[in-house]
Amino acid sequence: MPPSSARDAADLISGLDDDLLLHVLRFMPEAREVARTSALSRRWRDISTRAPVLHFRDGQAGGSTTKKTGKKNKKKKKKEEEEDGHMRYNEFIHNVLARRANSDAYIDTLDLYSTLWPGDSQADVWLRHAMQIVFHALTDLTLCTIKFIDGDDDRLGSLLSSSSCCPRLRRLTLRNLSGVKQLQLNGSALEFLGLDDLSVRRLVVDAPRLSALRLGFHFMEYDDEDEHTSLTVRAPALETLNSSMQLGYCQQLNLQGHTIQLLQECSPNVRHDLYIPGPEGQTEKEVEDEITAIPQFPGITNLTDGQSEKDYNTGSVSSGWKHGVVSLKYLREVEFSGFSGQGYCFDLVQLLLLSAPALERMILTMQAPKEGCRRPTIDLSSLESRLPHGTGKWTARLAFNVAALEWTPYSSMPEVGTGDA
Amino acid sequence: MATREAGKKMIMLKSPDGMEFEVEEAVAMESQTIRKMIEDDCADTAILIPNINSKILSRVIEYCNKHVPTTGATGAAASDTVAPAALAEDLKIWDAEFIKVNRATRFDLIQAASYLNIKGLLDLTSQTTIDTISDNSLEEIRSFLSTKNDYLPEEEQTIRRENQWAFQ
Repeated sequence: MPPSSARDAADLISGLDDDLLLHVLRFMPEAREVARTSALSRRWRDISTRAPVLHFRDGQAGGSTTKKTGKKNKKKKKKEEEEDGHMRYNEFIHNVLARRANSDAYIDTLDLYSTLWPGDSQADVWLRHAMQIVFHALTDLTLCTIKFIDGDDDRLGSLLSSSSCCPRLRRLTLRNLSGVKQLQLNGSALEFLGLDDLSVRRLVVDAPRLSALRLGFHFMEYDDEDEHTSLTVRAPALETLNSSMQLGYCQQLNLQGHTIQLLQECSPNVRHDLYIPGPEGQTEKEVEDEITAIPQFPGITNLTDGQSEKDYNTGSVSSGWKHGVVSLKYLREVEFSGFSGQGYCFDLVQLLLLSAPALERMILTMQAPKEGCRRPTIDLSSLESRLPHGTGKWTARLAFNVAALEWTPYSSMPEVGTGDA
Repeated sequence: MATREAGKKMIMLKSPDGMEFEVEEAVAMESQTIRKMIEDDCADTAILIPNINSKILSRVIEYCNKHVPTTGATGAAASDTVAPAALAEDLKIWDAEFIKVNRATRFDLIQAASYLNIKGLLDLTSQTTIDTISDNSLEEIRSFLSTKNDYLPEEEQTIRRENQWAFQ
């Protein structure tokens, strides 16, 4: 960097007021870096302890004991050092939060990725500290990979609830939390909620302003024989539901009973994006059996399917499969990416055409040929004649920059420029 | 108020060192501070921008010109045929070039962006500053920020002990 010419260099930072420096600190990728600035000078110490954004997500890289010990005894000591690193990292989080607990500076964005390490993760201690932190301004919170212990349930619930700790919380993501059996989330300001890999058996969400809900494969435990397993979602303002189901393994389908329940309960005005990754290493027969077992989703408005890569919001729908016992009366648009040309793909198209009277558009794109893949590339023109037509027609076009077939109903006039990327 | 180029409304901005810049109103209103002045009708003739010298003000105007959302005569790359994603990419590349300035200029830009309340420019300058200092040694950061270490040695040791993990 060229030296500044005319001005006294010492003026540079003193010219910026504290609020401005706090804004600059928002961009620190790691809470560790924020903490380091405390050693710069007295002024920075004061500023760093008021940083409104804290990302603790450096559990692996930050415990840099491994970096510094060099190559000696690498293998022998590696595991030990890793555990040591995790422990120090957890201590660090603990210390920072503990100090913030006695401060009146607010935090508006907090990401907490811990690392499970042998022994007590101190999650309960964090929670107790966290509840003393000034969270009235907290708008974004991510808790990821944290091991809680019995008895933390209520504490976590009240930490996350608007009435007690976080009145302004708008975006909440909980992922990979273990040890929490039941969770009650009351969020009067909550707009986005993302849940995945949770151990909860009883989940209550009460969020009047929630507009987007994103659920992973295992957002909660499911056991239909256990009466203590339950899901209640009160989200009258919900606009999009983004959920995932795994069809890869027969036995997992019943684990997804809650996703199915939610899909069935949801108001038809909600836009559903259902992601179902394509089956891997399964025979067609197995896939069909599973798909037949899925009950009806009345309100799916957008469905994407992909058996190929995670190229897009992929997923396949449905129930009844070949037998047409399915009600998709609100389904308007389908994107079927990764069409592989296998029998069940044709069946799915047939099913959709039969079951979705409001369907306005369906786009098929082909599975991208993978290197070393034996499957031949599908010829679009031959496919066109083999596909079921229903009450519409297929036309070749470009979608997402790849060759695709688009189905539109006969009745609708060709729309100009709809949805082109 | 002057008008030019197909009736576009123009605004005069004055820097304290006496330079005047005629800019489109839409460009000037990238600054929330100026927007408020215009909306409150406090901007009849020329707006004096205190504390921002002509060199910095001209850079700020350059930034606003590029980032003003309309596809008028100012945005050379903007055209109806360019996809939004490509446009965003173009802006990103432009920003990266724009911010290649010495640190004194960058701090001036941060201050100007803050005073004029131009969020995009403030975030760009802040992010760039953080990118420059993160992962550097404390001494390097001090030198970059021109911050003097005013700790006693034992005080600094205490600070480091408090956040031991962060200093490893």
